[in-house]
Amino acid sequence: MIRFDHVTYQYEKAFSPALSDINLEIREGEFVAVVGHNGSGKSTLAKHVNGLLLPTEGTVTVCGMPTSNEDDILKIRQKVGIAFQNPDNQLVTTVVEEDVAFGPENLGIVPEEIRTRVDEALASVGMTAYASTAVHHLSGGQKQRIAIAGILALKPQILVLDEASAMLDPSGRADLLKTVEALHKDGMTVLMVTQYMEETTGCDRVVVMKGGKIILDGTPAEVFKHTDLLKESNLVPPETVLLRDSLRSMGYALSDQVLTAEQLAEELCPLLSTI
Amino acid sequence: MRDITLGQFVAGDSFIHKLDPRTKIAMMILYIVMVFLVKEIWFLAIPFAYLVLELVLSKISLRYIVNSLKPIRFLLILMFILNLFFTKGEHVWLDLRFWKLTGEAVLQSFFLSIRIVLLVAGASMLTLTTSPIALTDGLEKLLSPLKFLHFPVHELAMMMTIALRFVPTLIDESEKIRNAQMSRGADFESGNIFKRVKSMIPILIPLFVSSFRKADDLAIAMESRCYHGGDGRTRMHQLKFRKEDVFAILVTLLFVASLIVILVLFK
Repeated sequence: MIRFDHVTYQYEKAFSPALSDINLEIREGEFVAVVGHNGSGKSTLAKHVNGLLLPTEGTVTVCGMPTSNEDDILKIRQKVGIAFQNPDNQLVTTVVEEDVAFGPENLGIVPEEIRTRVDEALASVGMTAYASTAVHHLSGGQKQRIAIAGILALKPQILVLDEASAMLDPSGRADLLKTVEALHKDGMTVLMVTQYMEETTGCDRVVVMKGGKIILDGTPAEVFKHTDLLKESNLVPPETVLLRDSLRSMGYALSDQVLTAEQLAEELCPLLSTI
Repeated sequence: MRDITLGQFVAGDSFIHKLDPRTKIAMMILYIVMVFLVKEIWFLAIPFAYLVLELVLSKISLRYIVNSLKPIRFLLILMFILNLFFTKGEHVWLDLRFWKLTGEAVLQSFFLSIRIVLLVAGASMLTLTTSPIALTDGLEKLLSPLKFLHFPVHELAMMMTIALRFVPTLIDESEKIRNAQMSRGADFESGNIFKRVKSMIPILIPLFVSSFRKADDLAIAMESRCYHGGDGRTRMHQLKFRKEDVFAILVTLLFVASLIVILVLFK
């Protein structure tokens, strides 16, 4: 669905490229997390998916359309929706439902159709009750859900979250993740850029970036085998994985599949009886 | 303070509130024409009657109108006194040798003051019953013929929309910066007026920098949501003229016509 083919990107006046020779394919229906420390290039990667940035070398193709082709850019942006980091800086109008309508309005869709799309989008992020509220009365987490609703109203096939949870409080972050997971269950392809490792345990695939390169790419279980490599990249694996590792080093047989607190509890309970 | 975006808008669902913003703008323009057509105090009764009718139909408390007149009270008093002094007339009511109080001067003073009060009150009726968002939509539609003269109507409306959206955000931001500077020992409360104005600089500069960053972020977000200017753009909320709008315009025109007839008859 999305293909990065030997993509290199160099910001003007930067010493080293922000992305160097990236090869990545994201398939339909996948939930992919991209993690990395500040300056690892993960946000630059996200901005390539809908042609906000164009590769210095190599190509990015979305559903067969290269992002470098200007004639296709609106089509690509309709297929790929991006939610950004700052909840305050991505909402355009004062009233919630009008903001959600902004995208479809740009596409020139007939008013009745926009109305149904807005209602559906607000329902799928659970914000129907706030349709006519002013956006500055919402919390950060609610604003991000509205931002996602605004993207859903464009009926995209891929949802990209560019550190969308970074400025939220823990409960806002949990709400956002729940919303995104529900959307994924309904068939949305999701690319989630984040620096919180614990958000990635429910993903299909985790891509770890460091210095503009992909250093790990696999299921969460595979990636969290390499806790040393993660720490080297200044990434903190989830607490539960760290606990699993230290228990293992004490001699308890826990499988690689253990990532969340629930899984940990499940494997530990039988062990309790052996003590 | 954060609700400043609503301006003086008072939400409601009266007959006037439900009118199309374009109708209300047209009504206000016709009303202003009426006020300016009148050259004698007694005939101001007609626009005044119109204003009262509008006020009753809008179910807005008179208090809001009085509040909207507060900012101009000094101007009113000044105008009144100046006209008392400088209007020449025949009917001397009071002769103080250096200055004669004439009947014409008193009449003229009252006439001009009442006219200003009527103008401001009429304009407030528009902003009291129409939300800034509806007003922006109405203006965009009304000005849309100017597009053919390459006047950037859509851009102007989009700018107003974004400005309205970001006013509360920037107020929050300036409050945050102010607190941050105060916690570093900045003093905003003492000194004379010049010193205090100067002490605003540590608030204004960061505010400017952050609004540029916001503008940049917003531009990227808008582009990601397929924004490409006003061409081929539709709106979810369509403005619709209903029969109430036609009725309101007709009544307004009736007022204008009767005023003109009366003015001609009594010339």
